[in-house]
Amino acid sequence: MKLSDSLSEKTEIIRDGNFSSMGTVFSHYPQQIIYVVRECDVRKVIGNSFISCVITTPSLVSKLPDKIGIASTQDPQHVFYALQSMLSQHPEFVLQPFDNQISPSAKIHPSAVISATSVVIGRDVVIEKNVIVNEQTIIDEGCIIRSNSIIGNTSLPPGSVMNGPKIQPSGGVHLHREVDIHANTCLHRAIFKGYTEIGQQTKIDNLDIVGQGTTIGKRCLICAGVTIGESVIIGDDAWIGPNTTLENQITIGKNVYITIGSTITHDIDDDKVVKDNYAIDRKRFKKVIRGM
Amino acid sequence: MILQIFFLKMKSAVVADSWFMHTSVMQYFTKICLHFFNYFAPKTRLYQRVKVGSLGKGNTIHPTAIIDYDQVIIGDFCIIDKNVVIEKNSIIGNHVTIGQGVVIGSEGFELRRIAGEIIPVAHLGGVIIHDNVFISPHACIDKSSLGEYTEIGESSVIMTGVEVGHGIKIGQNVTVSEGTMIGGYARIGNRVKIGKRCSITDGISLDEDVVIPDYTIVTRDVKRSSQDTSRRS
Repeated sequence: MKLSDSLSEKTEIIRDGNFSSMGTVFSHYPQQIIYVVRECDVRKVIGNSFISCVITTPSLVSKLPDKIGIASTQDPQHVFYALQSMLSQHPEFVLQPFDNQISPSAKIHPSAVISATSVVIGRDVVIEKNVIVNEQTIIDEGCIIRSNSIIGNTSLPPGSVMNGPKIQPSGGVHLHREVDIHANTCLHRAIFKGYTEIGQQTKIDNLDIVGQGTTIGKRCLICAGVTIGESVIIGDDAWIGPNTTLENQITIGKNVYITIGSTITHDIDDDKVVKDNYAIDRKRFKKVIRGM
Repeated sequence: MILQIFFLKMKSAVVADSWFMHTSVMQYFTKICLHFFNYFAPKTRLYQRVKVGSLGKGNTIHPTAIIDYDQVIIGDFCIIDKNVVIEKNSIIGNHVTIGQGVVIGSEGFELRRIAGEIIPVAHLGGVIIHDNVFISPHACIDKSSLGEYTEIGESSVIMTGVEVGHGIKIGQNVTVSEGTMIGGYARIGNRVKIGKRCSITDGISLDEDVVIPDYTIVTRDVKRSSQDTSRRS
């Protein structure tokens, strides 16, 4: 699809380009279109070769690379989600529906509500009381979903809650094997064609919220009351303490230890300990603790 | 009893951090032990404290509430609201109010990283809620491991979206405000007041009459005399 055909006349098109999928700064879909608001994201746009078009503000136009198509408006987020709601009718940009595949060895409590179409439930899955499983959900073998949790509900994009476009999500949720989701947790489904992915053997405690399009690595432990924003990437073997808040569109490396009650607004490299708001190298932190 | 003492020894910091436990032989041994424990212990009646359930008089229980009546004891004049889930081995006193969507007695968050895998520890305990307790909507109260109880004392108030972890003992007349997370095995004394969105680390103890302001992160024990008014303590 061409950039000039899909956007309205209010947006100024600086360089035309083609795109075939929607995504974020981190995602690797072929020929994707993204929006950029923050200046720190420009470096990631240069690093990601899958991006073919960008919607951005006038001040950031000169900093972006030459090869990609650019459109500029005052409110890129709003334009981007309006484009998404238009393209959610288009068959290329949506995950296709299919018949339910539920394994006979799965234990599903009668009070659980499971969507009539597009759900895959593997063998030995346990689904407990009052759980809601929405469409486009894939649950692999050995997963446990505990009482009152919601898998794959529709989230609103940030900043356009009142007068924004109506979002129809085109993605889903994928739980890999032996994932354990405790009570009162809420997993949002991806808005773009793709999945909110949770890696194998990851355990998620009570009262957590996982935003749309987030990918969590293998063997992570996520404690109670954690709020994870949209399109976050978390590496393997991470520990995220209770009551932590993670910002939208950040990456967290492997083997990271985030302590209780932190607020994280920046990218974090591998092997770090995060205390409250700043990160320390994990080996150095252990040395300091032993020296005391 | 022998299993309980064995597991408490294994969990203590001196044993868990030692060089001996990090050798590959011991790692695989503990891994096999845990798998054995997780498979067989829930099937025995050794730790199953509530063997016969009972239901008192004058309770108002909404039809959408899901209660395991065979292994739950409920007292008199309780109010149990919509979509409440009460799992087995729970004991609930008289005049208790439980709000909408509360989950009582679900699995705790105790996991072990052994030999590159995460292995959960099966929880076999229960929950005791004493008389006149008020629990607001969407709170979660986990059951304790190893046949012990998570306890909430008389006349305590637990507000919306509070997480009470496994094995916590809460005293009498305690107020826990909205969005607070309390880690496992914490001890909270009588008449303590905890503000909104606090985070309390696991295994610490708060003395009687302690007041903790909103948004506090508590990582040390708080003594009775200290007036804890700092934002981060």
